[in-house]
Amino acid sequence: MINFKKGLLPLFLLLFSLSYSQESENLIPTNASTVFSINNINLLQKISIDELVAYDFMDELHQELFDGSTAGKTMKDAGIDFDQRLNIFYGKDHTYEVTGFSFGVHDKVALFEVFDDFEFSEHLSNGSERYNSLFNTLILKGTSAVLLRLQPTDEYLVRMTDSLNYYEWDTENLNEYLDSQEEVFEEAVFEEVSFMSPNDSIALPYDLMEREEMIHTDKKSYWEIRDSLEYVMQLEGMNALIEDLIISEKSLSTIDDRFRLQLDTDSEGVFFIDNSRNFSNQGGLWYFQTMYPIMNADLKELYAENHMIGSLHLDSNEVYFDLTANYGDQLGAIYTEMNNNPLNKDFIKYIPDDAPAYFVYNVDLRKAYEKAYDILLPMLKDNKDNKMVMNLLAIQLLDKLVDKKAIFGVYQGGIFGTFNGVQKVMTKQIEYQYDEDNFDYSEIETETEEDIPVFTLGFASERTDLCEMVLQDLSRLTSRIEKKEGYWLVKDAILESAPLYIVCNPKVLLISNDEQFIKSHLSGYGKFKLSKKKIRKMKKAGVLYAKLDLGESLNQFPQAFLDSKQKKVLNNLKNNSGSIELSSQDSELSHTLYGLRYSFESASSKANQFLDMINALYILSK
Amino acid sequence: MRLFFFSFLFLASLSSCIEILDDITFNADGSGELNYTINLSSSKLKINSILALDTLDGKKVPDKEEIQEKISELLKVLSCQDGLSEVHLTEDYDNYLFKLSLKFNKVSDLISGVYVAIDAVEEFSEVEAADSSWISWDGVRLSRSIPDLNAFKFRMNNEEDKELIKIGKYTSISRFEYPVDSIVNPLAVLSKNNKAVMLRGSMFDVLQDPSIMGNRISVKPPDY
Repeated sequence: MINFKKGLLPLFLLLFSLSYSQESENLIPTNASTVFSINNINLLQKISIDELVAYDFMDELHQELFDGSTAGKTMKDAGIDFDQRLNIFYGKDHTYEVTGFSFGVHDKVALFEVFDDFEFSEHLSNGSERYNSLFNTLILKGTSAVLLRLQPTDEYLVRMTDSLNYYEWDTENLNEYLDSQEEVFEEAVFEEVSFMSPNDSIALPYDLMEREEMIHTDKKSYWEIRDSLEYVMQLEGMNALIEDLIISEKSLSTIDDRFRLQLDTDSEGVFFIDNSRNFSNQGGLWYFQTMYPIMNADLKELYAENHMIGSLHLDSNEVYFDLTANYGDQLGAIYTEMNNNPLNKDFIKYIPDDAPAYFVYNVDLRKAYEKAYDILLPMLKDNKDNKMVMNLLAIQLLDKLVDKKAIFGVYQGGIFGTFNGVQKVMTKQIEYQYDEDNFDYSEIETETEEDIPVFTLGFASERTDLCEMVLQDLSRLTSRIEKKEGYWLVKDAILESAPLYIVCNPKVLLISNDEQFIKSHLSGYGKFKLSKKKIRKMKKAGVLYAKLDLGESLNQFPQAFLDSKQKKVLNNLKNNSGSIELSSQDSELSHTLYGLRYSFESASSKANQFLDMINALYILSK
Repeated sequence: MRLFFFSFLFLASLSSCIEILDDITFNADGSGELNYTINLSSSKLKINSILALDTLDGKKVPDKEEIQEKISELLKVLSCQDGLSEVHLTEDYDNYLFKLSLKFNKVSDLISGVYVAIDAVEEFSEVEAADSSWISWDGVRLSRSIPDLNAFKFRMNNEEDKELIKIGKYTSISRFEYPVDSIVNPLAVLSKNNKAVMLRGSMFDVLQDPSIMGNRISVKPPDY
């Protein structure tokens, strides 16, 4: 009996400790749609906290961390447990945006020397500790912690308060207007309050009468109401989040098998994006969602299984990122038709071997259209809505009457692009010449050289003769378009300063501002084209292949053409040299595999390179 | 002048290489003529590339028509101000060259007219109209500096822009009916006919320290 007890006790203690041990990956909220989970955080031991918070993925949280308390401190000094993962997450739905990171804690005292703005708030019912700072909440649960920031989305706040905003800005005398519109105003405020506080568990900062009175005396009351609404929503949302994540222990890894499986992969880090919940990435669909809500709802099932999972691997001078884009069978059937095509040989001869950056995207839109037609039509035909029936009828008639071969012959879908560095172009500028007698001045026109990035874009087309025809006619209207030997010249087309060249070769329509290309390589780069080794790599890739030489291209790349996200990524990678290679494999019915290889020759540490890559992915996926 | 200046603030803010030329004729009776030129021709490639964007650093980039509309609105207000006449603006969008000319009865008319016009345009109402003392002229003594250029300073956060701003120039010319008697700023140059004073500085230096463009000039009328 004693022996039994002796044997049972350690087992019991082990089971007890296991059942109560909390790993950081279990502290990721269920509404996180983008997660980076770093397994090998030993790598980051020497990273200073100041360096870490400078990354964009820490941006939302770092305001309070980035102060004197972090100076000279490394991750190791911050009491972080390097045997647990560091998980960075982001999620956005129609109401809230949540950002945060979870991690292991081995030294609570050291942790709060760095996180010194957090003040103890309460012990939660399961023993976890809650700490608050001005914007963030930190929860300590066992040996793990999660730092959370939750904010109502701007779109939601605007939607809830836009009526007040309208009245305020468009009425000369707000007080008079509000007196006459008392009911409208009260209704609007009540509506907001009831929405944001369904359980009425949080006291409002001031009552409705006070709000109204304030509005009568202060012209900026709209913003004050909005701030209050935001504050209350933040409190409510955070309480609900804590209840769900900490008390009920519902986390992304407990509700999503796909994420849990990905966590088990052998890699330095994993990446997870659930596109079906990633509202911020659906901006491009707003028109479709707004104008065709029924069609959008019907087609939603197509995207229901869309998610991306990826793993990050780190070698001595290379970060390799493999990504699987997952989708349902129906979408998979369309993708396989669209994506699985041989490399367009007509593209290869126009890519020089020394191009700092180039990409090839091999899609066949006609095959994709035929498959999409076969799949989508039956799905949409289930709906008997009048508008939908008429839309479908129009689609079917067009399909029967229009010459699809001719249409898809003009633009087949395949495209390639090369960035050929920068070239000098002459631009005119105005200068002044002064007469020394009386300082009267006259304008003189001088020429100056400016750097301009040069590109070539090629489109697969079997009907480049149509482009030739259009240019022929347009050239009769304007002297800016001129026919030259083998190409068309469009004067001052690029930024109203540099020429653009259009080449209507059989099978490929080329658009370029590269004078060198037009003068010497109009029929291809010949012996200067891509090496056989590079072509083999490209052939092995599926629908997409891209290569970027960091040293040669990033410093020259024209930032004016990039959006703010891309600009951030570019600037973060600018000090590095090496290359980035992106390739895909053939699309399967359920997924397409992509690989991103980042080879670096930088003086900065492996850890920095690793974080640079995570940061780039975070910015682009957010 | 500020009005004109702020009218082109957006365009100019896109450009780091900027040349400003202010040329004021001061008559003995207190009246005068202003010619104010902003020359962005050496940045037109950059301006064109930015105007091709929808947004820049999260802010909407207006198109040329919107800029033209705003400028003509401002010009209309300026033309109605008491004491100002013959208000003309030449806009050259091929070279991004803008020239404002106007006549004023008194220097105070110039200053107040500009500020009234600024106030009339809501977007600019937050622009502090504090440098009303940047110019004074009593027919013999002129004390002048240049309008506030603080709005350009944000471009100097960027190293690349900083280098371009160093190439930019600010030229200030003061013209008189009578010969100049004395000039306080040692950097100023007197014309051979003794009736015009020019002060030039790099845009970078002027932004760093606008006081380098300050000057006090007195002229010698024949009966003195």
